[in-house]
Amino acid sequence: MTAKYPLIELRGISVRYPGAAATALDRIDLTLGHGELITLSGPAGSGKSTLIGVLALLLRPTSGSYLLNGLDTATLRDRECAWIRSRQIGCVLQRPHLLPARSVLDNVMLAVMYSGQARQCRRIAAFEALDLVGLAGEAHLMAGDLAPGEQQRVAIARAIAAAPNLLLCDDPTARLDDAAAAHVIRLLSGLRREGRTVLVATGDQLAAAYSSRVLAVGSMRQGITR
Amino acid sequence: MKRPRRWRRRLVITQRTSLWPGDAVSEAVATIVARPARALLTVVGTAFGVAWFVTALGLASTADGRVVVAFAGRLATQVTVWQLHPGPAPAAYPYPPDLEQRLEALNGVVAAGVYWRVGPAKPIVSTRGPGSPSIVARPTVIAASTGFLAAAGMRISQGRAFGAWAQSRAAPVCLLGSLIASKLGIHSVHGQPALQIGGEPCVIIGIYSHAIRRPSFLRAVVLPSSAAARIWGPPNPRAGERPTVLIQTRPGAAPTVGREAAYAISPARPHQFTVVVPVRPQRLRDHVTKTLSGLFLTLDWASLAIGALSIAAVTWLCIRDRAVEYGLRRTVGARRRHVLAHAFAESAMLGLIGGLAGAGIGVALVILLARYRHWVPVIAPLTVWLAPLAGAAAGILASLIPAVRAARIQPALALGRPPAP
Repeated sequence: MTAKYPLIELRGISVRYPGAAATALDRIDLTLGHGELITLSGPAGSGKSTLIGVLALLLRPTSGSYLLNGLDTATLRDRECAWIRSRQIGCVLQRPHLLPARSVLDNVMLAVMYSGQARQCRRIAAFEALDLVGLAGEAHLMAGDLAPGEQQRVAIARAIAAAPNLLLCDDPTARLDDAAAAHVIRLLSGLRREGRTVLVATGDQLAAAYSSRVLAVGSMRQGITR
Repeated sequence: MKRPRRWRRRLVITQRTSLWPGDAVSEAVATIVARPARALLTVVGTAFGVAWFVTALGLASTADGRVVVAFAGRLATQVTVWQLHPGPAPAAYPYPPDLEQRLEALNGVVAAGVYWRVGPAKPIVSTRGPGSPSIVARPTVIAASTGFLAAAGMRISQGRAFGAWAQSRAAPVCLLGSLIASKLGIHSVHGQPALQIGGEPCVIIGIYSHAIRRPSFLRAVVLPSSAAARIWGPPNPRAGERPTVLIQTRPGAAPTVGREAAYAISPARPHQFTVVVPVRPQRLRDHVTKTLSGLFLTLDWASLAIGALSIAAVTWLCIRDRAVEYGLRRTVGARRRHVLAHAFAESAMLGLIGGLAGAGIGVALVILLARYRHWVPVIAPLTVWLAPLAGAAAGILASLIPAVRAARIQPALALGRPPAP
């Protein structure tokens, strides 16, 4: 059964930060379907992270419309955005942003803390996510004691613990060595095969090799070329 | 294509993220455990504030108790009676011979006796020691009945008091107050030292060191009233020799004894006497205790404010350090109220721990200080119960502004981005 609406539909999205002379994103049009792995490429400062922020409902666009599963996000209130962020969108950031003095399991459970599920269900979900990234055995270690590559995998586990439809990754391999980066990219590719839409903003060529599409964000922030 | 936007919007509104209270508490505990140094700093600040809060309240209660005891013991236990209009000279002695028995029969009377100051001009008193120069002084000379010595709360430090025998025979004996005894160079009653009082020889049989209800009498010489009457004649009210009855009562009995005393002395003509009952110290006592309580209460609030400021300062710094964490929580679905709940739970817990520690320290301080001063420590149980809650409340209040600031953190901060347009 095909989905009724595309997962993401951007129409003329522009973002200008307060006090900035130029726009960070200028009239972006983009449509993403379900179950795709898309690589968003472009030079530093081209607006990839800003676009990720808009898609993750962390930034409100200055103009344009953003339809998520057919729902106009401009009409959403704070609590509705929070619910969508907790259940439908997972974010993997450039830095893992783990709580170093807490266990790996606690860090992953953080993603489902606000879902309203019972603690035991959240624990199971967190373990499943850790198992998926191959870190179930390290669940009780302190997050700060892990290697950078492992920390990024914990961040991915945190992002997928709530089983979101959309996984947004903002340069997840930037701080990793080649081996760890390859591991992370293969992991993201595997998630796509499970039916999730994965959008990776990266300059890593390996990610492009695994992608169904590569979208280039222009350096002049004038749009996306396919 | 027309989208069913309204239907979809309703679907979203019905589903909200939530935070279980247990999760807020367990997150607070985990954060406290993860940052023990910061937690200790906050707890110490709160503990000091609450400890002083409990100490000040405990000291206020203890001081209040001391004030009550002091007032009850000093002011409300004496009644004074004298004749209102003495007759023409020579006036008759206004009191019956069995005055003391009549008054002591009243309920609430501990002791009673008569006294008067002898002569408008104080008689010259001189020592008479063999081989030593005499010392001359003009102390107050008091003629007193046997019961007066007890009613005035005189405490004999050397020798003995005169009794019924000396009174009945108008024996030429006397008691010296400790101050006049020192002035006359008499430090012991061994060897029966004597005085010349207005030319009359008088044997010193005792020295008293306290006269609780007449402290000025420590500078006086006290003779049996019968002896004074034999030497100088009956008291002459027109010469300032006013026989006065002093009654010692039990605490709280003075007003009742005051109403009955005149009738006991002269049932036929009770109105010829003036009865003075000291003003009940209730209002004065209340004023003193209120002032004390107000002072300590001010200190209480000041101490709590200091504790709250300490929490606020630490919480402020902590929230600045944890901006990324709060942003991350917002990213994974926390609403502003959830961030507020996290900040409040943590501050309340630290305040509660500080409050418990402070309450213990405060109680110990009150007990130690009271023991040092030989007071009875008085602490209202409510104070001890409320102190930890006060600490928690101070914690919540102090973290109000930092918590609101934390709740306003833009989730985009977690991505290391500037705030949204």
